[in-house]
Amino acid sequence: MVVTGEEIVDVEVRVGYVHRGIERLAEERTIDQDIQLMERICGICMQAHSQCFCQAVEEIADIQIPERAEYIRVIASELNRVQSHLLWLGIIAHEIGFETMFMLTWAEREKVMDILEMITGNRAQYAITAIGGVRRNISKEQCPAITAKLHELKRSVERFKRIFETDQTIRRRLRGRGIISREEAEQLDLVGPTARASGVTDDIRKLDPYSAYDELSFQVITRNEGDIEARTLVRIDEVLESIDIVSRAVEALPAGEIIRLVKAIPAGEAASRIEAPRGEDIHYVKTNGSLYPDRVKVRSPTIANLPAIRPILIGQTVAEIPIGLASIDPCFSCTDRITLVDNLSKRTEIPPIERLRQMYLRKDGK
Amino acid sequence: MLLSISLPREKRIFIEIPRKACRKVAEKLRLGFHGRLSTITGMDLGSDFKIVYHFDIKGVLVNVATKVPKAIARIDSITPAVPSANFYEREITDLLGINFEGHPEPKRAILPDKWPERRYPLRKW
Repeated sequence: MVVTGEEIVDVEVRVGYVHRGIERLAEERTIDQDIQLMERICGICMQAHSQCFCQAVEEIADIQIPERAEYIRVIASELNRVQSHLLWLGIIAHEIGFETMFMLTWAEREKVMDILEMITGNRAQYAITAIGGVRRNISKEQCPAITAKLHELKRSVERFKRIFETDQTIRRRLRGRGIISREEAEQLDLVGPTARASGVTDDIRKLDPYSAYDELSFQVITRNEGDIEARTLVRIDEVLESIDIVSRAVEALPAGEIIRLVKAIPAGEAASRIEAPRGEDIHYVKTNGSLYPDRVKVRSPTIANLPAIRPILIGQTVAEIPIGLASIDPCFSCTDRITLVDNLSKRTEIPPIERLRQMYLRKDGK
Repeated sequence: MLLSISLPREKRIFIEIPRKACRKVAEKLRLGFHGRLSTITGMDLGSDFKIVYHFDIKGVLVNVATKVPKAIARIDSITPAVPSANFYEREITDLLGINFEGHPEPKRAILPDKWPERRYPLRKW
């Protein structure tokens, strides 16, 4: 961040601190092993990556996976979205000093983690997606347990929504800050809830339907204000929408197999995309008929949204950095490294993020 | 100009065009069709490089491919017309060593500052 005193005049985004060479690694593993690799790109939005990869490979092999498998993938994806957004909501609460809300949202998130553990055996890296379908079934006995937990969760999230919509302190801290206009969102090609809070209506589940999304009714959530409050309310409403999608999917779960085994993947290429919790996740896969892929390209949503930091932060003060950055829901372990470059003296400083957070809370919404 | 076209399924178009046509085609997809750039893929085919621009136009994924001979290893940048290409082009320069001429901010994208020159992790040879 280039600053003059406390005001941010420019932002340079530098990434690569956690570069793991995943695309290169993917070429050295079989297509089957790559599903596990893709799932480990992210600890929060893993279902998106393993499913997007499998979808691309299934397109190359020209196979239709069984309907029941599509529904189970939707259930896993939407539960993944819910736990991701609830985690994020807790982070936002923490950023504005509302520690109790941080604990409450993460406590409710445990209900989703319980459901996921029940149906996939895992809390993260569900390992449920496979080429040709899914690896585990949902039993008849599990369905009422899922629905009951979701019903409890929905009541809690509705309570959270009322608090975020009406509490004056929260609104003072989120409203009118970090505004991204619709023109900026379109010019920068932003994706996901970050873009939808600025009036963009793209949601891959409706724009380019995959899995069973064209059979399940749901709304695309958008707002027009483009501020941090809008980005928060969009995500809360998406949680409520996703809870309903899962309930409908569980009720309408078709009978039948859960996987169509594939012998070999022919040579070919495909590009597939998914609406991950943070936005469009796109995978491009090129195969050559052997067990190993020629190329696996992954563009996860956060990298598309990082340029949003400039309109969000330029003109704000350094105290707004933590909440401004958090509002795009960046998927890297919350960056602890922010370098401030003083525009006049050219001195650089790396402040601990806790110091910026305390500055923000002391300003009390001015 | 259109070297090949393939429509493998609904909402997917794959086309191949010559290297020198890419900038104009990208500008047209962006300005004329309000295309959103999803990402740019670079790869090493052994004999040449291949670059694929992935544009979203109203839900249709339009994949524009082009070959870049290894001996040349450069192509016009589309960043002036498509701002989001900035990072994707720099990433390809890092990983494959292809230069994007006219890029407004050429600098390292993801490799460490001390990474040795002329070592491109995604090249096959």
